[in-house]
Amino acid sequence: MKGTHLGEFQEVVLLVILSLDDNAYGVTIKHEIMEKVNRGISRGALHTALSRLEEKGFISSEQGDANEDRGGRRKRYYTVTNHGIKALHGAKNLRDELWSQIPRLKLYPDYGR
Amino acid sequence: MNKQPSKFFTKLFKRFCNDAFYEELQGDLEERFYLNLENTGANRAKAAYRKEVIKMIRPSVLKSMKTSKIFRLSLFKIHWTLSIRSLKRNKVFSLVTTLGFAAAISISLFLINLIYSGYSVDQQHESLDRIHRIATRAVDNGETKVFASTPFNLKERVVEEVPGFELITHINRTLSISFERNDYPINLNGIYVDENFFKVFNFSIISGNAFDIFKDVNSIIITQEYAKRLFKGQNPIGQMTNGGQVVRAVIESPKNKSHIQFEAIGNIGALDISLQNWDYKARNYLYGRISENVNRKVLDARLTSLSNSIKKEREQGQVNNDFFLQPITALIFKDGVFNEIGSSVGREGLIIFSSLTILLVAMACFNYTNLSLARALQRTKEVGIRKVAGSTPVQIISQFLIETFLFSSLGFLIGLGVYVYYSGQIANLIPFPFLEISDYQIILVFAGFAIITSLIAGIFPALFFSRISPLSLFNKQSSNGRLSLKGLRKLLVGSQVTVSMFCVILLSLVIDQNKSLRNAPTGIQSDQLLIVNSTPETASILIREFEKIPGVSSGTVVSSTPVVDFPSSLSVIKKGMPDSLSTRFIKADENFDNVFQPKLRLGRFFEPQMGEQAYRDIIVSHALLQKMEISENEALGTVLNGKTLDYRIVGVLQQTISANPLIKQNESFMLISSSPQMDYGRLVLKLEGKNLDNTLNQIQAVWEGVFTRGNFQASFFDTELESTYNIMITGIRIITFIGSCIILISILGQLGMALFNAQSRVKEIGIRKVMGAAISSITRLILKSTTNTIALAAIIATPAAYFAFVNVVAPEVRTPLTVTPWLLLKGVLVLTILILGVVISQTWRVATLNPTKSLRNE
Repeated sequence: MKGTHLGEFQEVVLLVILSLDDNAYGVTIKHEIMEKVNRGISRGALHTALSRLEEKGFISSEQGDANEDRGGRRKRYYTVTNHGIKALHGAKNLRDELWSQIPRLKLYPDYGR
Repeated sequence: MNKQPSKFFTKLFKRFCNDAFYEELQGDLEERFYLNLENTGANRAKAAYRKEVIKMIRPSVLKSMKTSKIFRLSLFKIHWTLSIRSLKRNKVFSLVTTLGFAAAISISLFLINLIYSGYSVDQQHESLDRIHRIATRAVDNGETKVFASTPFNLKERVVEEVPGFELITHINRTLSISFERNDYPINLNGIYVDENFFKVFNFSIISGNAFDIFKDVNSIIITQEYAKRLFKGQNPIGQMTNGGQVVRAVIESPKNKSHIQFEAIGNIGALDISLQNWDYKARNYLYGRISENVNRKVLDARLTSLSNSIKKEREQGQVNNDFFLQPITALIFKDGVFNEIGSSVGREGLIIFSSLTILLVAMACFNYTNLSLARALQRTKEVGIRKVAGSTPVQIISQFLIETFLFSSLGFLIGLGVYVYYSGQIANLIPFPFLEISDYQIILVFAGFAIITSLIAGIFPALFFSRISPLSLFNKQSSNGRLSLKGLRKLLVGSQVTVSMFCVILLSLVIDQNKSLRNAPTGIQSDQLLIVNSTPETASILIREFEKIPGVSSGTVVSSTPVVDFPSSLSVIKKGMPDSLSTRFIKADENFDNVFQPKLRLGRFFEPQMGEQAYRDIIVSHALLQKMEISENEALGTVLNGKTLDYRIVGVLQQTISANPLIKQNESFMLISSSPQMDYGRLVLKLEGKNLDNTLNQIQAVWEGVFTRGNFQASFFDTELESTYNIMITGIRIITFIGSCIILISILGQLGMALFNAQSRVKEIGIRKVMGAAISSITRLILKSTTNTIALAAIIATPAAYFAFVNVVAPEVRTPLTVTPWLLLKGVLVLTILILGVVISQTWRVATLNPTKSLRNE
């Protein structure tokens, strides 16, 4: 099923974009990943992930207006497409299903003691 | 503190980043940078920025590369076809560029070969980098000179007092032996060596054992070359020389193998004991192999202290010798060394030849560039259409480079041909190593050289064409004056003409000098003189027999042949004079005047001498009288003292008898009366009558009657004289070759300028013709810049060539040419006519073009 698989890092990026709502662009995404997920990545690595996601159609992007504090350089804002939300749900469902199939005892060794 | 992200990394990023992402990504990086600046400080922020840029180097960010497309085979094929087509279409252009490249490349090949050969000698020796020569720095006539040689006695002192040498070998270059072949002596010159010679230097022994010569002083080694020449088919080992030395071994010939040159090798123990002192330095050499782990500088310091202590011990000696080490790699390119053991090009010679060659190559490259640009008007349309059809600049550059490469490889082939044709002659002529080009490595170097030349020459026109905008084709205003660097081109073309003008004038002077040398008075009558081989014991018997033949008028024996041979000198002194005078001399018998017929100003010729006499009679040149301050009245009977003999003047020559005309020589000269047995040199006969064949046959018959074995050899004096000129003729041929290359290239340069001038003015000329201008006035108009250039070149080059001739060429020859204005003008005229001819032939076409054609499209 080429093109629909969601990698772990890609999932994180999608979730972060959703959490940032209107303000999701390179710097904030990177900052958020650093803060919330506690993972330091380079802007280049993030770019690769973003372009991958865009190729798969999970996110869309648009150029913002020229911005004074960036010396006139425009930002690229990212939003998660419906397709992307669907993929997130798919990933979550897959996990939930797997979680539910595991006996509680194995997951919580202290349970019932 | 600078609170900006690194500009260099920003630029770098811009360079490799895909344009579509650059703005966004760089913006992000910069925003992050300013954030970091507040949080962590400038240094950390900058470091983070640099790190981020470096991490951007990833496939998703990088620009997509298109360059690999130019190497596509199909495109290469098309460009190749196009180049060949354009080569065929413009025959004149192709011919001149190819010839230009050929000229430059063939000269460069000689240079490359010279350098290659110079560095490839002596490579066979084991641990070459440790072999050094001890050389001498000494003050001679107020000048500090470097001598390759060292005093004879130095060896012992070095062995005793300078530790650090593994091996030291002593070489003396005075060995001279002769072999009797067919009753005719063949002389070999060589070196005396000690046993270490064969340990330090690796020459391969062809047969015999080299160390045998150290068992017996009367034994020698000869080179393979002479072994073949002397003992065809026989075993050379065990053969005897005239002096009684026995050949013990045959060694390879050192030609092109080593900087040490020899024809034979002897045992240094056989050297005359009188030479073994501190003053004898001229032909004596020390080589040493430094021990491993010993620094050359340390040894140099030890040698310096040795030289100082020797100086102190020998304070009475005037010579101050300082000894130092020279590595033996590429010795022939070392700076001004006197008493060299082999041949030396010297650093100066290398620099002169290299800069001439570089000048020539630069001229050829520039010409190609110039000519290509001159064709720009034709080709802009072609390039424009190609661009409209979608060619990228890189493709156009590659097309033009392929075209240049085609021209230069054609030029390379022609140049290689010229080189191969000439290299045989050159190899015989020059004494330093000159390898044959059988080695394909050298040919590869040559080809690489041609490719580099083509790239240099082709890149500028290629860039120029690649930048043509197709729009400008349809824009009439911008098509003129777009060729920049106009002033620079004029200057370069002008200097080309000046250089070639200089060459033409100098060449014509040298050729005239050569002619005048041949016609210079020699002081003797040289027609119908025959030189016959003989030996000291038989010379006078032979002459008596020869004189009975009706065709022979007279015969004489001389110590050396006048005019042909190199001079020998001795010094004489007159009583009461402070200084002795060095004078050339020939020893001659009383028949000298009958054979050579010199004219006397005063006195008489020699008379037959009987028994021992107090004085030797001499006949002197007028110059000798003047230098010894003897007036003509008191000349006859004056006695001059030599080292061992005294001489009495009996006659004065009308004109001095010259020695070999190629060398500058002393005008002081004397004929010394002598008998054939004492000072045998050569037997010369004066013939008379018309039936020379008959006379020669009779002479041979007489000769064979006297000598039962051996070959009769005879040559005419004029033929021998002619062969001495051959050296000069080959020299002139080389100069002519380089000179004509320079001249050819500059004429091509002129042609390019003329083509460019004419073609860029087609419309102007059309309008002029419509308005009524005559063809001749139009031609004059176009020629104006050429004639101006030539005039300027003549003004600069004529005095330069004159001074070069007077200061460089004239001091080297016996009778320098008196330079007349006509001689100078001749060279100027020749070049002017050549250039104008070439230029007019091109401009004529444009000038005669029908204006209706050139203006039709306006």
